[in-house]
Amino acid sequence: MTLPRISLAVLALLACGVRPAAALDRPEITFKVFQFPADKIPRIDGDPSDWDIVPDSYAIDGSQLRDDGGQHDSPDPKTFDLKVKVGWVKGLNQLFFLYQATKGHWDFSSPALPGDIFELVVDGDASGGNLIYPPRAEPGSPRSPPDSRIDPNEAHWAVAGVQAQNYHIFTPAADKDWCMFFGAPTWVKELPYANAATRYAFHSGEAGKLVLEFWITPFDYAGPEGPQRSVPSVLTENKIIGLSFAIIDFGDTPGGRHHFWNLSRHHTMFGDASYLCAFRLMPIVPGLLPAIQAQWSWKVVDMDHRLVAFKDLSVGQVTSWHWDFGDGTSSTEQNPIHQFKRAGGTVILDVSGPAGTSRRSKVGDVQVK
Amino acid sequence: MNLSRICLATLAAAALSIRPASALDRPEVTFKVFQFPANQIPRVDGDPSDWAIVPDSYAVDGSQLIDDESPHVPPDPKVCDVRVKVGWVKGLNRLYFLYEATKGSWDFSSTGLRNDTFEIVVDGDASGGPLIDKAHKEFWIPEHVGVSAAVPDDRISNDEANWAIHGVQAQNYHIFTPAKDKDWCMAWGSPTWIKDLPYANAATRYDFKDGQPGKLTLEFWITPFDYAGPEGPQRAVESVLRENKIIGLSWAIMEYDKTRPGAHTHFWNLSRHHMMYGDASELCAFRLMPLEPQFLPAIGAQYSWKVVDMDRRLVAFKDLSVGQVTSWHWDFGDGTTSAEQNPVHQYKKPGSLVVVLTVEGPAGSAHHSKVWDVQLR
Repeated sequence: MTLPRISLAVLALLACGVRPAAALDRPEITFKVFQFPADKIPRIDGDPSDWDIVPDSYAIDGSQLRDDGGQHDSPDPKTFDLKVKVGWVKGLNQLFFLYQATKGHWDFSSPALPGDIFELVVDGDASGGNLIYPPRAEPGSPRSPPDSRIDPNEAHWAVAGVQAQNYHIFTPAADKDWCMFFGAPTWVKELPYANAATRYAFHSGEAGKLVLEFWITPFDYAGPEGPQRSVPSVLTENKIIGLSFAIIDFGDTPGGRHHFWNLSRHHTMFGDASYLCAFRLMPIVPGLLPAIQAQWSWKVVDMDHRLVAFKDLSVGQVTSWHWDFGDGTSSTEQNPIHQFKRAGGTVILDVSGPAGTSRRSKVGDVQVK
Repeated sequence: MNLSRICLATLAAAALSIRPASALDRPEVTFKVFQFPANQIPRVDGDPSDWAIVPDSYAVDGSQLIDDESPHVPPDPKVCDVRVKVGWVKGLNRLYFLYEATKGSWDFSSTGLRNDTFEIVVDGDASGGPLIDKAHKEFWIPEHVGVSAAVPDDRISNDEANWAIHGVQAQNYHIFTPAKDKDWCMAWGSPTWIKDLPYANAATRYDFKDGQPGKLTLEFWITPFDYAGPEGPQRAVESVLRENKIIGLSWAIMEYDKTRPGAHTHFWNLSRHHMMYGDASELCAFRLMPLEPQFLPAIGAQYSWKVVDMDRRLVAFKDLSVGQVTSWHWDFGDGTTSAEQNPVHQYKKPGSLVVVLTVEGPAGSAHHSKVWDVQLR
């Protein structure tokens, strides 16, 4: 493709008003997902004390929400006070949530869908696009109409919840599953993919405080028939994921006005992952890290030649590295590539810096044949 | 194979004293794996308080161990007091462990293998068989693995055999107690990736230095694999954990003596066979227990469902209620109902349904609703 043709393609896209897949909603703000250390993963028991280590800068309160079905205002904290924190753990493809809300009137008497709901939409690879069928478009937004040759039920199976997921979480769930999974792969709401616990001390129609704690597993692809054809989203540090939530609120008085308090500025974020907000999977906050700590990974580059690449993953300021490869040789490079003459044994990395020294040994991990 | 040939084969196997794969060690005892409710899964932080709900009947202490090298007695609780609890969670393919030990002297100064060690061997499908490679000549002997397996095959190198066998169908973890300046354990085998998140997680608490006495608390989870390929999780198959299943599991405490360089001085073993470290047929039987009654409501409605035939919109419902139930009422969400315990229902139209099960019994009644889970085209 030549340069003028690229420019024409870009112009054509702009003229059609098609947004690039990467443009999430609310470019002015990037929300933060807190990284829990592996020894402080929240226990899903409805007790929010595990979340005390999450700084306030991570909390999202009602001032970020707009009632896009009504008067476009935020909830009044005097009648509806809420706070959401989102977390992740390096090495686990799970998102953790804490939702705390105090309301004058909770509605959860129906065994069906009506009732107070925390609706969560997540797109782990921020690939955007439809996640329900038939597609719901904002007024004026170009959307191709449904293809009459494809049975709507078939399309539902191919689209709904497959490449991004929508959970209608009942707040609280009395006598029913913790959520309605709004899509075809309903298995994503069960262990080991999800777990939830709720604490509250009110009856339907009463006032009070609710604490909801849960984890979900976002999927880049979730086949309707079960996990066998599914691909969990890989969560990595600093990755941006698409995420939004809305609170479906049946009002602060019986029979009161229905609200849809939305974090996104587009109502149809519930069915279009391109309208989600950007959330960044944050590094660990400095206070939870040691001043210096040696750590490393390794990969066999060429087993025939016993060639191994070592990667420094140490934490803190490091000024010198010393690798003992366990075969009588050593290196002072940060990320050495080493050719073993014979099968390896224990490999040790020593690092030093202003805060002191640290050592990390891996016994028998580096195996070359 | 005809009957007489089967009998001959059986006799031959008996003559060579090859044990059947299913016969685990210590037939006199079946250890118990505690089922944690999903809202009380232990947090792996080194704080044992999450385990206070586990009854003492689940705890395995030093009296179950024997030093099988010498002097063939359990550890004296005055010098080495140990207790282990094992747990699981229905729906998670993980085993949780709490290891608490008080000792007169801890040895953990070496960067290598020499270190006080809690060695666990797990075989999630209890399929048995060797799990260490053929370089271990003490293990691959006729008395242990049978005549043919003991004969070295020159066409297969030890390295290749290691990749195919070691830790693949059962797993051995040498857990350093404590791990100072090193990974929490050596996953002894070719699939070393099993010791990292999300497959494993560990936390240790202790306040002693090398050579000192004190108490250590080790908390961890592992994921047992029916097959763990060396190259990573892409070809691996997790063991499926379900209620009342028997898994093969044993552990040994390897204790070192500062005054004696070299090998460990004790090998306190739960199995009565020293080489359980390399043979999953010599592990003990552990049963994945149901929830203890105190964690269950007197009556609670629950069910699962499966589409038997999507073309005919035929759905099988399965009652999973807890407590004594004397009557069932299913509302299928299409205007029809059933009073069967496990009905099979044919829907007339496509759609997403709200299906409600109501159960009754001596303790009262309970409902459970699933909103739009049952989806038909």
